Amino acid sequence: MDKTIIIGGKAGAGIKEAGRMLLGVLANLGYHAFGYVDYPSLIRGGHNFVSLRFSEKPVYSVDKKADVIIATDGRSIQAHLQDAKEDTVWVINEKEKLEGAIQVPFKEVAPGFFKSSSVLGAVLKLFGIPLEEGLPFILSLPEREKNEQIYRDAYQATPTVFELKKAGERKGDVLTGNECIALGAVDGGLEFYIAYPMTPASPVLHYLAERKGEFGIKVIHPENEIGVINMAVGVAFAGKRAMVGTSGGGFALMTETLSLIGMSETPMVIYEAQRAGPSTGVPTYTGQSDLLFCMFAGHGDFPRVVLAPATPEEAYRLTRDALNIAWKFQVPVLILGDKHLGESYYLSKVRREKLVEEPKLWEGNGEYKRYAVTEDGISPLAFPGAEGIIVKGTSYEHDERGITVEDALSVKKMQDKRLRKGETLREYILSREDTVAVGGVKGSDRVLITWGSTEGTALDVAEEMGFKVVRSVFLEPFPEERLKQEIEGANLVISLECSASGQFEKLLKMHGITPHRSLKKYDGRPFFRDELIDILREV
Amino acid sequence: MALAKRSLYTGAEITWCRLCGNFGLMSAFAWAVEELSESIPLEKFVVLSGIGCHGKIVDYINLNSFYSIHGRAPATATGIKLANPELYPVCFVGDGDIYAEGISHLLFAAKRNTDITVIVHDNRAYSLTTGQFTPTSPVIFRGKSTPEGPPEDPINPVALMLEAGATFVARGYAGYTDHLKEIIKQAILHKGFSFVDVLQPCVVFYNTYELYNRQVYKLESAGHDPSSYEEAYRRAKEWDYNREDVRIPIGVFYKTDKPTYEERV
Ligand code: SF4
Repeated sequence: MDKTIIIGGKAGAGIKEAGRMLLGVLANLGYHAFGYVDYPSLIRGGHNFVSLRFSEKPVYSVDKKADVIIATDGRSIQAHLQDAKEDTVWVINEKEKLEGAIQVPFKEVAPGFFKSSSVLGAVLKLFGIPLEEGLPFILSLPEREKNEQIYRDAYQATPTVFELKKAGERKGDVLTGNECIALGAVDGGLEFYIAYPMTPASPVLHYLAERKGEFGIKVIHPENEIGVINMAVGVAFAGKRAMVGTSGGGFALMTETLSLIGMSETPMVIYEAQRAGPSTGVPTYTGQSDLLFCMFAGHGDFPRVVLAPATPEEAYRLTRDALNIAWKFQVPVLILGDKHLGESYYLSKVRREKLVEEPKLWEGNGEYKRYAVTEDGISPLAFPGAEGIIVKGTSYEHDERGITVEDALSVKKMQDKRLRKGETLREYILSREDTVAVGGVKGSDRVLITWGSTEGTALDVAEEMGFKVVRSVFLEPFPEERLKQEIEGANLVISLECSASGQFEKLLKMHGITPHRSLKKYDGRPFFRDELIDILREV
Repeated sequence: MALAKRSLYTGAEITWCRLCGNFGLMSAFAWAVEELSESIPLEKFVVLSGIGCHGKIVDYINLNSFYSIHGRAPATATGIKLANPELYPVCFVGDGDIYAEGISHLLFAAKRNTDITVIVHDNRAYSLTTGQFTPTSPVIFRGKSTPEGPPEDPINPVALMLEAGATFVARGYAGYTDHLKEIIKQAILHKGFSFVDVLQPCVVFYNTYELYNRQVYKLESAGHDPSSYEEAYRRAKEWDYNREDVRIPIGVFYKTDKPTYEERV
């Protein structure tokens, strides 16, 4: 069985929660599932929906056209008429009318709150799933008794249309990319998370703030993004691991300090969760159009790492690595995510394991020089407060001790040191196994080349359409050779990205890779599976 | 080699103009640190700076330091203090630096009562960029960007910091180094956010020595009570930064106790 279910309703009506609970039930029944969350930037009213797809096979995307549409209010019916197929099953609120639709009482627990229990009751019955499967989720909600009652009522009121059998073992937990970014950071030794609220990175701030005691970290919310990143610089200078999180506009404010980080060689991890820009753009929708900005942000020359996870497992692992890389090389590491990865629901098996690698520390002989010139370009670290030494960090060009210099020889010498560090970093990154991910039909001579969360839809269409899927996991340093190897001999290379100007395609071309075709989506929505299949049929 | 036996100066070539107020300020700080080193180990100090003539102080002073960027030093100092509460971050900042570009960080450091010290080299001119008006320049200041004088009035940073919630608010004068040294010592020892605005004449772009020598008076001699917020505010408003004919109080305006940011987050 492979079905897409849309659940629509007003903001604040528990739509997201209903989707998450349903995913949990499907996970317990052994299905693979994925949930796309769509909501405008408002708190009450408007129209929210969750689109879920589940199957016996792995799924990382949803179809635009749904098999089941659950409309908890009248507006949801209107909004999703365009997403219906001929045989779509409609489940609507009993107060509404639509020919052929099943009417169910979608009750609220309190006025304006939580229709999620009744939605869950209706869907479970619709698929013939035993009532007990949903109970543990219902019982963990506040106002248990009321929730249980409306859950049972909705279950009772709905006919069974599909027969869903147990599909096997549980495939994983319901997780979002943002939750895995947070967990990865903690397991990479995070000590301070510093952020100013900005969608779609804020869930990381909220998740960590709620669990700061359990994780033994500090979570700080300063006056603005400039305060955020400069505070984080202070934390790292004093020897503690910090990460900041924001979206494009906030990162724009941080770029002045990105250069400071480059010059002062401060270890720093920056999570940039892209939304649809430019400027305020479409704050709660997705995009991949901050790519080139992140690659080139900041004034002056300095080494950096830009990496982009595509799944929660990878978000966990790469964020953990990001902290270690930042400290190993004393560079900024940008984790480029997006709303789609950050807020979608995935079924994931994340095995947590703390991994904190020791950076290159000063051994304590002679006079400490913060910017000692070394062969690999990495100067050993020491932190202020240690007896007998002086640590001088600086934004200015400097000598080995950290004292300002401006003469030509010294300026070049230090630039060369940082360049050498960049080379050391480059060798390290490019020798990693995971710079490029390959999936789909591996032997195919038709290739979809992509990056970040867009890989999900590509993988979901690959088999049916006969495509190999190649993804650049690291964007800087860029794994040019590996990518070239993977597409060698291909008859058709199509780049796939959520950017109007084709930023990823440009990056490929910069490195001598010219795709035959370029598919771009830039309406704030990810590629849907059925939509991509239709496009690829025409190619 | 123990740090205390080292010189407090790095030996880097000092490029401030002769007679610049920065010299008096730096000496006052060095003496303060020397005296404080009996109770605070030298390696526990971290000095920070913003960008401007003042910023060079971190090159000259032989202590842990972070040469920050324009206006951001208090944010960085807050991070340092959060990461290692045993350290004593002292920010040297300029009036253009901190009252313009960095004003939000300054206000929030005061609001939070983060346990750092901010010392403002207030020469009332952008000097390293060769003479433009700053937020404390008077309307008669003829700067390169405003040849007829600034089309806006100066702010009063002492009153501003009182309003923002700073728990130690003082003004010093770089011409009275002994007096300034005492203020700096108190500021560093104060648990919570300490603010010291220092009248620092710039002999090239705004030579105010004569004005300050004539108009400055010490709060202690006037029997000021630094525990009274109302008194502090009245004294703070005594000097209109546009005027040259009113008396200018220096000394500790206000001092109070409050839990620090580091204790509360
Ligand atoms: S320009 Fe002014 S502030 Fe700068 S060093 Fe010279 S006298 Fe001092």
